[in-house]
Amino acid sequence: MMDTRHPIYLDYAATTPVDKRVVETMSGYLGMDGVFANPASVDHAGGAQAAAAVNAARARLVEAVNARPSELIWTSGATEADNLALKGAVQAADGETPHIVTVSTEHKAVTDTCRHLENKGARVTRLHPDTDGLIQPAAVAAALEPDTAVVSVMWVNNETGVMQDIPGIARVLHGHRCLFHVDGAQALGRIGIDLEDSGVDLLSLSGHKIYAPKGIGALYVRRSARGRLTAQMHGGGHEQGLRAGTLATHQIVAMGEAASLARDELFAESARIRALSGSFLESVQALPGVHLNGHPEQRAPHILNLRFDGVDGEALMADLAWRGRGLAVSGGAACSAATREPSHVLRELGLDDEQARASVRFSLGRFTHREEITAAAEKTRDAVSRLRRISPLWDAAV
Amino acid sequence: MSDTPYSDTVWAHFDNPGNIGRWSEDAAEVRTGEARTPAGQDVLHLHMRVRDGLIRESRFQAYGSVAVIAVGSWLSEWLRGRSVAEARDLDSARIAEQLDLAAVQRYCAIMGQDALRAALSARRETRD
Repeated sequence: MMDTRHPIYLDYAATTPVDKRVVETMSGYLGMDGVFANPASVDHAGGAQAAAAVNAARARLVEAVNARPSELIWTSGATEADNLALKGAVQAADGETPHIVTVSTEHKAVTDTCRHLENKGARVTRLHPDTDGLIQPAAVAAALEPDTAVVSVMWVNNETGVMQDIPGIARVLHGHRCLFHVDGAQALGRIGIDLEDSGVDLLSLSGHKIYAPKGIGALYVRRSARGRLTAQMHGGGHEQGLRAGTLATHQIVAMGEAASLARDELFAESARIRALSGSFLESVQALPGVHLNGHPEQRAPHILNLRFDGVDGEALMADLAWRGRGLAVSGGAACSAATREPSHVLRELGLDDEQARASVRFSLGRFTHREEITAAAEKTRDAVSRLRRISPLWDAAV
Repeated sequence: MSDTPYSDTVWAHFDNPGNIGRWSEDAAEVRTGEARTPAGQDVLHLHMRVRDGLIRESRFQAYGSVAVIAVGSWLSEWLRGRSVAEARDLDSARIAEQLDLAAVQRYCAIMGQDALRAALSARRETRD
């Protein structure tokens, strides 16, 4: 019997709960009875065991993306990985004013870092996607300059789920000396990733998007790119000198376990989630004036960014969250209640402020069940219909 | 529902708003006022039927935040049976106080006052 008071969680793109199997694994690396020692203290058995656990986790994560263990740098999360990739590449580049090519719809971890580097003297070209959210590889090629140090394009957009043509972009970058960085936080565990022949030099990964805890992530650094990054964290030379700091054994073991589970269950899980999100979309589109933001096919299965004509996103989210059985969803992005700033990603797709504000992100995950999707769709239809009865904009439109 | 981030009064009106809608364009004695935020983000329409200096009925339509919907609902209830003179005295501070609006929601009270003033000064031909 399902607890109907328990909210329906459809915000997996924001974060995921830790998988019980992951909790069980990581709990063996915390207490006095566990492998708590510092993995750098290899002169005693506990430390050696911790180092072995870190190495095993590294092997499990690289296996999930087809890379080598030496190509993985543990970080505190994808934001730190993005910072290391971009700042590290620009600082290691030759020339006075290195050039960056990026996309206007990137996550803030990339856009804010690029802005910071621009303020420090780097030059930044920001490509604008088409109305489906896609960047054409030819546009990336056209933006390249002789001193382009790094090209940064996210694989799966965190707001819309739109999937960029990373292999296509890698092909046009072939032969250019720039590094190719990809933010893969929303891609890992959602789409198949094979880095070996991908042409990707740097890939940011996050633990808490794949049912590991918050506070752990990694940067994949292709072996040929290792000498072309400058460390951003100093103090002990851990992680091949690229990221100092005592390794968080329990977090690392958790991310290794989560990556293995994600790899083993990827095919079945993505098919199941694709079917559920398809059902949800079909069900809410029984109402008129409900639109999917972003490309209808070139997308990861877990994110649906929907726009409801005549309805304000804040009121809709409040209705969904607090009336009856709660539904946890997100605005287009950080739709701040104070500033009510519309999403920069949706505006880049050509939506006006009213359309951007009428948009809500639903994101599904491992623990989303069909009955939850049925209930969530019904609740969403009810809330949209209710708010439309109040809305003068909807009244004027129909 | 005290576990929402809204005041009890705001939530009660948002959860179960009264007097939604409008009258047809040619209905008698109807005055309508509209208020918008500068960026056009929130919209409040206030309608009322006025006869002999008394507001007989009021309805509202709102698009935007939870608070603007609550303000519309509250106003439509408060106005019923009030005199035009009383309605003119209602200001945004009183609306904010009555609904216990948070600082970031105060603009909704100003929208309420603006829509009310606009409706009160609207003149329509009466068709009986």
